[in-house]
Amino acid sequence: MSLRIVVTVKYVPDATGDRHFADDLTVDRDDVDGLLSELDEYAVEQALQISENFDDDVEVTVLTVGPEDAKDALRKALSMGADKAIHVEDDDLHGTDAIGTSLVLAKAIEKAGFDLVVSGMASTDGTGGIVPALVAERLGVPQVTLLSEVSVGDGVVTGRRDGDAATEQLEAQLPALISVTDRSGEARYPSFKGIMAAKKKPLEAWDLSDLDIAADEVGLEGAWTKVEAAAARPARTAGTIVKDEGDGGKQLAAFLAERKFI
Amino acid sequence: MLHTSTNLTSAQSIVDVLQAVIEKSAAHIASWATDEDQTVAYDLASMSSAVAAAAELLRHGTGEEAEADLALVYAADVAADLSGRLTGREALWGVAPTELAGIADQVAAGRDPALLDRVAERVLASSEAGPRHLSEDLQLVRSTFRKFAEDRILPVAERIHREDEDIPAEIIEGLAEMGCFGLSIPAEYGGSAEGGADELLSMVVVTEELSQASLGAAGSLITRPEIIGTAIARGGTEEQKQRWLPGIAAGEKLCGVAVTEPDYGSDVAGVTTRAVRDGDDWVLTGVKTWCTFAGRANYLLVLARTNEDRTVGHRGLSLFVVEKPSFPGHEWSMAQEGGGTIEGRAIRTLGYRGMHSYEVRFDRWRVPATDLIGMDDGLGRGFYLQMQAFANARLQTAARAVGVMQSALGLAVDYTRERSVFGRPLAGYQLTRVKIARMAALVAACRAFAFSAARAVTANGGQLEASQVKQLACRAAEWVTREAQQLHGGYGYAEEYTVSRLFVDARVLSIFEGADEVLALRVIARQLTKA
Repeated sequence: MSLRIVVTVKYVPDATGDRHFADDLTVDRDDVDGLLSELDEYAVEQALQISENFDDDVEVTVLTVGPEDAKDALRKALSMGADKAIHVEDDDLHGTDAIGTSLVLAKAIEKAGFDLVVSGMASTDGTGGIVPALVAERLGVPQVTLLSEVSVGDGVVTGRRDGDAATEQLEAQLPALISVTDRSGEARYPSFKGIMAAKKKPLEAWDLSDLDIAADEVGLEGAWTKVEAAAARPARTAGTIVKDEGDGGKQLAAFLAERKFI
Repeated sequence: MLHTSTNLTSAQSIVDVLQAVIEKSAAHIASWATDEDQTVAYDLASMSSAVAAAAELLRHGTGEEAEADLALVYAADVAADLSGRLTGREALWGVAPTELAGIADQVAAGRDPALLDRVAERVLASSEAGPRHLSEDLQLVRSTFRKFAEDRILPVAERIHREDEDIPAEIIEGLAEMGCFGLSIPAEYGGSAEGGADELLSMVVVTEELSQASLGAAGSLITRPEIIGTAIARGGTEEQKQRWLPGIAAGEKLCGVAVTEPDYGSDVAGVTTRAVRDGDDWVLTGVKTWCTFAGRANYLLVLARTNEDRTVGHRGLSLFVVEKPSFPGHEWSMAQEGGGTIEGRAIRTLGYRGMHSYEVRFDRWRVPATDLIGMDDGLGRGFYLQMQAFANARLQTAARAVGVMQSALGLAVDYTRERSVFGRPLAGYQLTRVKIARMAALVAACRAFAFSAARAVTANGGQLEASQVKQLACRAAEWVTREAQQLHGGYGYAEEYTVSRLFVDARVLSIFEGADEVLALRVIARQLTKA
């Protein structure tokens, strides 16, 4: 039995860059360098590990919805070892919220064909973390989210979810969707050969018409949520310097007690 | 008022005149014995390297304002340097005292503090000396190795340096998985070289990124597989290539080089370590020194005299691959049945720590005849093969120097922006800005030259350029790290500050892989005067 894995990935602004909102209160993606969301690297890594440990043929497809530069995220995933990539790009997608994004992803995943969808636990820019569940719901498949260990065999995906109170062993019949956490195993660095091979791998470009999605279902117009206002976080204050003149410990305790930390 | 197009034209005018001076002087001293008349020959060789870099920096750019400015700043700096070296020695150079008079205005424009200020402004904003103009693939190569360097190397670089520790296995294994050790090994033997035009350029880009994090713990790991891989690929039998190259490419077999001897360094043709044939073996006896990484190495490339007749000179030398276990630490030894031994002892060094450089003593060590590179066909070809192998290493060393310089530049930018003196940031003072601009111009020129030399060597040329860029970039790294350290004030002298490591590491660059003076006199000056 062969296995088709689709990994959903996001191209996000570099957290070390000067990130800010555009005038329409969407994230400005033009004036800041972007990259493959670090949390999605874990998803690519798990897909590749499943592929390496699976007895039969596996095809790993990475899928992203985003502007032209989002190809960089796909290229990175291909250089890590994914087999092919799909880039959904359309001007009407500008401003799409999580619900709209899940529609586009679900349609694209259906069109690509899949046995297993692997997502990161959240994006590093929006950090909503709801898209995997929304996509699973739209696809009508089981969702097993926030896994820190994954394996696939005999038509099922199994995994471990580490919660605050308990560790759960979970299993779902394929086709299914999983999301993986940043504790699922460090993502590999692309190898030199992988980078050179990436450009020879197929990268398909689809737009909304390829997915039978109307423009008003997505974008700012179709969004169910709206950013009303955005303000830069105030600069950090200087803080309090405690000078230790023999009573440093007491001062520190008093400081913490005052704020009800102790 | 400063105009970009004017700056580009000015830079070109300067470069044209400087190139003419170099050519004229090279023709003038062609009849000399450069070994005897070394003063002018050395200066000529050094200036030829700088002038070639100025020309490449001009060619490298797209003509945008920032690049035109950088090109002019560097060209003017080179002109000023040449002018200083010429003064009072014009007759020896064979040029007129007025040779540079025609470009006085252009040089003045390039040395105008206002122009340097503009360059500094951009460098202070970006920490970059200028755009690299890399292909998409190479940009991804760069960002990938940069990320690895930031994640895995930088956090331990200081500790390795200060404690003189071994390089952690995780760094070596990580780089091995990324294919770092097979960059120049043909794909058919497990490497990634497929004959593309950017092959050596990839190696240069990777080297620069790793060297930015640490010269000793990362950037230099590529050098030895580069040398041994080239020697085997060019001189080995098919069986030897199949046997050795895949392990080297995969990073499973680490490499060391044992060529230099206590009494023979750059004059390597005089080596005394001898190999005597005994049945199916060669028996090696002698002492090698400065064998970097020889402890961890599984393969040691050893140059030894296989012809007892010393009058045949370098034609009596052959190369061996001595297989050995990998040893951690500063001292190691091994023994064979029958009494053969090898002992290694690390030499304490000022910087360039992590790989450790050993003195290695061979005493009647038996090597199978199948481990002489090229076997019977390789007899007497050792010198020739190692010279070819070292040509790539020079290019790689230039890239190491660029990495160290870029790191120093970045630290200088960060520090001078943060540190205030007399009420304003150091970066606001003219003297700081002029230093930053000149450092950046030098980094950009060395990088552009390294890139073009890499392409030239890949296309089976570029031997002169590889030597020139090695000579230039390694000396430049000393100055750039020195200036970066100086800008840090007292903190720059503290081990706690990375820039102090860069300064001591940079010092080795002009000493190894072709000492500065030897490279200038015996390689560059000779080739210039031959042409």
